[in-house]
Amino acid sequence: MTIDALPLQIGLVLVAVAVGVAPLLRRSGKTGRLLALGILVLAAIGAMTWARASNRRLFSSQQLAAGLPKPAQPSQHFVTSATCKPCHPSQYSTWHDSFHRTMTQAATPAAVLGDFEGVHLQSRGRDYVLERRGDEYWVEANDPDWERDLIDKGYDPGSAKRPRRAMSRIVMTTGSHHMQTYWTASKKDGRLFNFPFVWLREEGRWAPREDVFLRPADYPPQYGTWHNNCVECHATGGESGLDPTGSIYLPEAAELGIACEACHGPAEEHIRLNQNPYRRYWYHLTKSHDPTIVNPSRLPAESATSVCAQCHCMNVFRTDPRFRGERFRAGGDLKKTRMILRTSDRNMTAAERVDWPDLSHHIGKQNATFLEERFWPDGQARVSGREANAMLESPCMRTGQLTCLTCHSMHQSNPNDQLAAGMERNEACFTCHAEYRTQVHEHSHHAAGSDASLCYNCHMPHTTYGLLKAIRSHLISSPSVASSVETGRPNACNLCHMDKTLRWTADHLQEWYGQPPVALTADQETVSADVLWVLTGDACQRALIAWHMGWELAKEASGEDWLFIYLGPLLDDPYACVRFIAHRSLRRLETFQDFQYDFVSSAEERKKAAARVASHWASIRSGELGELDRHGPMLLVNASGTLNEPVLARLAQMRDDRIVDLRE
Amino acid sequence: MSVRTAKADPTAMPKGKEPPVAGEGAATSARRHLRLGWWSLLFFLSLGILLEAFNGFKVQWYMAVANQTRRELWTLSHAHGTLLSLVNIAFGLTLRSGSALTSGSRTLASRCLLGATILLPAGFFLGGVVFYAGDPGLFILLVPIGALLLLAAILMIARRAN
Repeated sequence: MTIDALPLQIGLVLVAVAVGVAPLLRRSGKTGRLLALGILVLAAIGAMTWARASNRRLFSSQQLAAGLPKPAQPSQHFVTSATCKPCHPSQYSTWHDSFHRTMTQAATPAAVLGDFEGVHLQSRGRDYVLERRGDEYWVEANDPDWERDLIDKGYDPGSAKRPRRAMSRIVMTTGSHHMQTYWTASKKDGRLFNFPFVWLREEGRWAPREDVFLRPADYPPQYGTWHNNCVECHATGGESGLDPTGSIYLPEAAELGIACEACHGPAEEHIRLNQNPYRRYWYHLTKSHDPTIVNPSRLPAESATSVCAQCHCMNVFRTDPRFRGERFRAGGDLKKTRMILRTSDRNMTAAERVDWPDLSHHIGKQNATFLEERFWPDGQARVSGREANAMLESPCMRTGQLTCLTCHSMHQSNPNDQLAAGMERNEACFTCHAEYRTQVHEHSHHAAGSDASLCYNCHMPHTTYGLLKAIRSHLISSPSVASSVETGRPNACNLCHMDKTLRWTADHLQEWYGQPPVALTADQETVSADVLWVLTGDACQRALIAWHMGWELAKEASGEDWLFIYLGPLLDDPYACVRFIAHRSLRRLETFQDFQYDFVSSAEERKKAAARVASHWASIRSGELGELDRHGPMLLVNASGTLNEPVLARLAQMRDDRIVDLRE
Repeated sequence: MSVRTAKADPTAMPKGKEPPVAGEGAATSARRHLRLGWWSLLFFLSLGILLEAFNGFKVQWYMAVANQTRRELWTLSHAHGTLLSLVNIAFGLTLRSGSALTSGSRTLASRCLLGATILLPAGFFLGGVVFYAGDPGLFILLVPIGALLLLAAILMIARRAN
């Protein structure tokens, strides 16, 4: 209903009421007339109240819609998921339950997870006041349009003495699984500005955006914009909408979130042709494939992977994606519009190698740490969202028929990791490596059926960082101490057996799998690999080990009494993400379940928190808690809790303080 | 025997003393439709209770989103079956009260109505046993045939309604 229709509706309601009470006027006396008049007055008041509320709701939803990306142009042939639902209710429902759907949403009460009830936030000298007005979410902050204008003119908005303040409505949300970030709309054009705090779902708290990405604390504040980068993958059919002059953004999206047509392609023709029931039943009964829609599971391996890789992959656009142009659509050739980022050409096919000169030229033009910010030195993906890059380097994909859909399913899966039914354990690997089905124990040297014998725990360890946690590597490889020594990437064995040295691992890999001997340093020979990584590693290594110290499987294999020795100091790590992960792992230890700590508190507070953890030693040393469940020279602590202070101090001095800025 | 010959029967009761005599054929038809109507009403109301039980116990092969098509079709089967039962009862009563239908029309209308009473709910029900995502199974083809029969029956009855 439009605003113009409201007076008409009120008029019609009053006329209807008048007609209804007319008999009272004709056949009753004074009482009847008074009653009729009363009913009319009440109806008029009710109609006006309803109209006002309706007007307010209408204005609110129009204001929200005005701030969101505009619908995709008809020439893009999208129809949206609502059109798919009537014919594919089951698929619609499973997608609707997924976090792909909620990747980006209009900021309605159903979507917003964060607390906006009169919250005051502060970070890096900036103040924010959050407010909820009915179904609307508002933030008072420095005017984002003013900030952006200053940035465009080359000024730092943070240095302004009297920043211009503005009240902005939150119009859109991104994320819903682990964290959620928010967007306000420009009052001048179609740009969307990132509200610089994110809501951490599990913890139920706000955190500055700068502190939830692994980057140095003293890096300048980020002024994120939706139209520049996010639109490509956080919406279906997203367009930056940069006009040919390169000055005005008018972002568009066929649908917010990752909807049906992101994976099945634009469905306009499919919908049109399938209005014909004979056509539909022809495909039902012959079980043949309808060529007007893409079914990723029926595509050749490379095309199927491209459907996921359009977002779960780092690639270089052949033309500037901010301007309109040819776009990848499901079922198409991803390489036509993008070059998939590789760190070297060693695993490239002849067809892929054609792109290598352009790609290496592109990498050469970037900053010196461009690859380091994304990959381990041997080309394995170091940050999340690069799963397809990792898979491309995997022998299973290069020489086999592995695709993302071998293990994952959008529709028959748990929304958490979208592993297809039955693929949660070894079945995914047995489909190709059937010979191991009866040799799990012989091959893994761990009890068949145990979590330790799961293929992916050895061949896909959690060596990728992202979303404040460690994520499984999607480069399917075998554990190697030589690789750990060469690249610094922790190996699967030591990520579970955290109390063991690299020597212990190297000896086992040599004995069990015939791997060549590895030359190790004196510390690597005698001190636990994880202790070395957590003390001498860079921020990414420290984050990964801190996460594993909270991983149940690792704690089962390695004991947990000793972990606080190394998690405590990480509460004062220079990197906020490392501190956050260390605190989460610490709270998973029985003794520290209620340990209160704020990972973005002041340096002084953080030191105090680390000291509070250290004071736990007193209980150990007094014998109050008995002996540690693991101890020895490799952990630099004896049974009664006495630390090998000199070695600890020496290793702590060796911490790799190189700048780590991981680009998730 | 038609209504007209029944009027000529000297043994017939004087007009106005009892409802118009429908004749032997009409009486048989009326009895058949009344019996069919009440029994099918019993059947389709029972089906309704069964569907409610499926709903109450959240039986997945009826309630799951993936089975939404089945749920809709079986609900339609229940609704159409119940309504057609009532139509049969109404038709039976119409015949008993002395319809102006000719023998031929009555037989045709009766057969059309019987066909519709079977085909419409059966088409919906069987179409929901095996189905294709949002599309019913092929048994749904029974539904338009049943609908045409119902339309024809109602048209014939309406034209001769007193």
